[in-house]
Amino acid sequence: MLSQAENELMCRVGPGTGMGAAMRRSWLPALASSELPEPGGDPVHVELLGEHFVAFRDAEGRVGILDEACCHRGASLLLGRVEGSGIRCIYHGWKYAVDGKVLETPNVPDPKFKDRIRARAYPVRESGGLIWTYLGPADLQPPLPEWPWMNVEPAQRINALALVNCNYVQIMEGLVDSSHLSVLHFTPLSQAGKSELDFARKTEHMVFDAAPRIEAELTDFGFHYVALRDIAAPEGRRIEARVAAFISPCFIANPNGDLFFAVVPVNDVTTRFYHVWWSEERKIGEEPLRAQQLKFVGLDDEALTRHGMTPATAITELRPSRENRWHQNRELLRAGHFTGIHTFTQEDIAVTVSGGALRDRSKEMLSVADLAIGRLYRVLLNTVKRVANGQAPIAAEANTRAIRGANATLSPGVHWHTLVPGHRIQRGADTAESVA
Amino acid sequence: MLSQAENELMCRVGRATAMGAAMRRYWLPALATTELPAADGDPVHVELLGEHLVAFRDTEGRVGILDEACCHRGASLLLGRVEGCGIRCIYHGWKYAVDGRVLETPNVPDVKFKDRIRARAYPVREAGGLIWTYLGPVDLQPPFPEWPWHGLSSSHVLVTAHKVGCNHVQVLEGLVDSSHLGILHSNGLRASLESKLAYATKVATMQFDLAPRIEEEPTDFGFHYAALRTGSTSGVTEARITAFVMPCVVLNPNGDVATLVVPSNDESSRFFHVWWDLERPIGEEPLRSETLRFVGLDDGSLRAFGVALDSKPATVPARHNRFHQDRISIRDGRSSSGITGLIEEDVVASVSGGVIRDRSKEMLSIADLAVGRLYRVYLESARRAAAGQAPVGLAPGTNVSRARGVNGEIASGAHWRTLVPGHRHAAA
Repeated sequence: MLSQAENELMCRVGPGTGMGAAMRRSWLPALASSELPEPGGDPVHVELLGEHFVAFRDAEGRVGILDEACCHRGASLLLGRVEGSGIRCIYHGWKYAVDGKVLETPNVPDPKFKDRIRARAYPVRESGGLIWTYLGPADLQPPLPEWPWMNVEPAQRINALALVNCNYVQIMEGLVDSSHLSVLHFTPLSQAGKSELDFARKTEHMVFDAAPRIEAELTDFGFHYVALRDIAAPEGRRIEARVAAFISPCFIANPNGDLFFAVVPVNDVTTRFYHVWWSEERKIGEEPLRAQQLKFVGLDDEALTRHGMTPATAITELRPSRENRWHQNRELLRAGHFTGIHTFTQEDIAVTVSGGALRDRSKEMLSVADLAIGRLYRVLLNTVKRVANGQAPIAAEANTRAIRGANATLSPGVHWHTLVPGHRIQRGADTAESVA
Repeated sequence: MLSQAENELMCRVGRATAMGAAMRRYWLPALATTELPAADGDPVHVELLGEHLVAFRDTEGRVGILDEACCHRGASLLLGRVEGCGIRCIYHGWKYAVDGRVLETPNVPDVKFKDRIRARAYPVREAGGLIWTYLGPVDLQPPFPEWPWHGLSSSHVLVTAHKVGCNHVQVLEGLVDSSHLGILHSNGLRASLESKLAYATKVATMQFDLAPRIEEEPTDFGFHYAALRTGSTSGVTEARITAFVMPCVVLNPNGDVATLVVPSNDESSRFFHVWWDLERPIGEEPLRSETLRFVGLDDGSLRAFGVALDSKPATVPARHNRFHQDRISIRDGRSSSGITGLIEEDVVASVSGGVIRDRSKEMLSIADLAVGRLYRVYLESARRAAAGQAPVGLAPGTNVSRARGVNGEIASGAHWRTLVPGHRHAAA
């Protein structure tokens, strides 16, 4: 539970907000590489932290991210022509390179004029199937974090994207909330035993303990937490541990160990929810594995389109709303499906969006099952406070290569910390147990 | 005419407003019984005074009205499973009884946790085809009002619900405004001469005097007013007396129909009609459909006009679709208003002024005396609630069950008040 003022501070990310300033200190995925496939292709609109940009890929394949409004007189560069090594505004023909250099100003006789001005361009990196940008102060720009999935071949990686019509924190809550799995996802999880997918096998046991014990700790990158499930299986009792890592401000390493989320605010009430699966051995990015994985969790194009969760459909009446009952099928529910909702992703999105586009956390009732949620609030509010005080944001100094999600059966006497030996736990007053 | 500040005070009903505080002191109809027909059926979204609620009927037929947001982490209970005498959130499985008791919290190991918390539930009464609730302070909950149609068998009561996309005061104005009947509804009144329906015969005379004399008085429950029409040849005066009972009930002069208008939020209203008939089975076919069709409240008409409870935004009568008016039917003389249906004509009159119309720009006449009284009763209620006093209709000794709508002839020299002997003039 938060006061309304804390909730606003945590959730709002536009220019001039506390969280907006903190978010602008990190590299963020702006769009997926697959959204800008061709050199010289049509420019794409990108909204990020409530600001409007245009992204384009020049003839040499380099990606540029500029303010959408032409620096001359504000026409949208989304209308622009991508020609050669730049984008040309259709209004007066001014042409810009990916780094904001002004290449031509054909309506200005002075040929040196263009050298005295510059369009507002942002640093860009393309890595791991994502196009990253940095919107913050140039002198505070950090190195691009390295994640394990950035170093595998595209064939060993699956990138997926869902557009969600609510604030980003609501989505992240659901990703550090192990106890909903055996309830909300009861029906698809009970199918997991019949599936050969890694994802299915790694989640199957969760059907058997609905009230896992949750332990959470602050770390130098944010926090990590474990869900400990006491499984009474025919072959004997065992403890299953699932450890997730939250990396401030908006990244999560899933306990499956091969799944990473970036939860990026488009604006205060819209979020881009990026998924990355990777494998060191298997070519999961190739068919049929890729399609099987996406279909199992509901991230295939057909399911996303039907549920209004693609960039093109999230602005239409297809998007999940009270009017379409968040795509819940009550007939299916009555027939025995627990939720009456398509599968994992759509179930998550229904409960996430149905609380309102920016839900009021002064009205909630957190329990011991929600310890990690309280931690999430605390880390986000702490990073806002640090940036506002002129300090580095949380995770600025963290070694991202050591961060992981993990799951395992724990032998007696073995602590779950041994599953994540590289995580640097922060002890001190800040770590006192509380539910926020 | 009101100042803009008065207009805002009268129209806005959110939690932090004075009128909102006043409205929360009364029992309000939330939905029709027909919207929650079956035990363990799907839960229904209810918006009332700008608050989002969920209504459900449990295994034993009891109705619960809870905050829509699950008290745990805010997922909508509209997605919930109605099972085993409660509603279960699909997110973490917390389950609530109709009274807000927490029955299960399966993801929390401590079995006593559920006994220490409670979901926000509101008192519910189901009577006469409507489900009522009370959103105000527990210690100020008034007795549940008795209405003339309560206690009748369902075949003698006919209840409908539709939505109107504007502030509720705009809808109520039209219900205490006898003089528009002969103008706006002249199509329907002409048809009433050929109809045998009780409703039709009771309104048929109104087309012959377009400028009734209006007299109004404040009462302990709100106000009542008479539209007095004197026949030019007979010299007989016919009185049609309407009772407005705070905050949302209008007892129509026909004597067997009540209209109830409840704010969903500041810009949208739920409009309930209740007909009752001690002799005839108005709640059964064919009478039911005949009555609804005559006024335009049948499902087909409501849906075509975009005012059914589940109508899509694109079909809602609005400027972009010219409020569904058929200009050709006006030009060729088939229709006076260009709108089909009495209810639909009223809707257009209500919504075309804007979602909250500006009453600093209007020109009330003697035909609008009752409308002015409506404003005053509302404003007085808002001011009393803001001052911590009981709004109009809730003073000790007030008995709204005596309120009646009546029509009848009055002898020369007699006052119309004699037709409503149960009404008590407001204390000075």
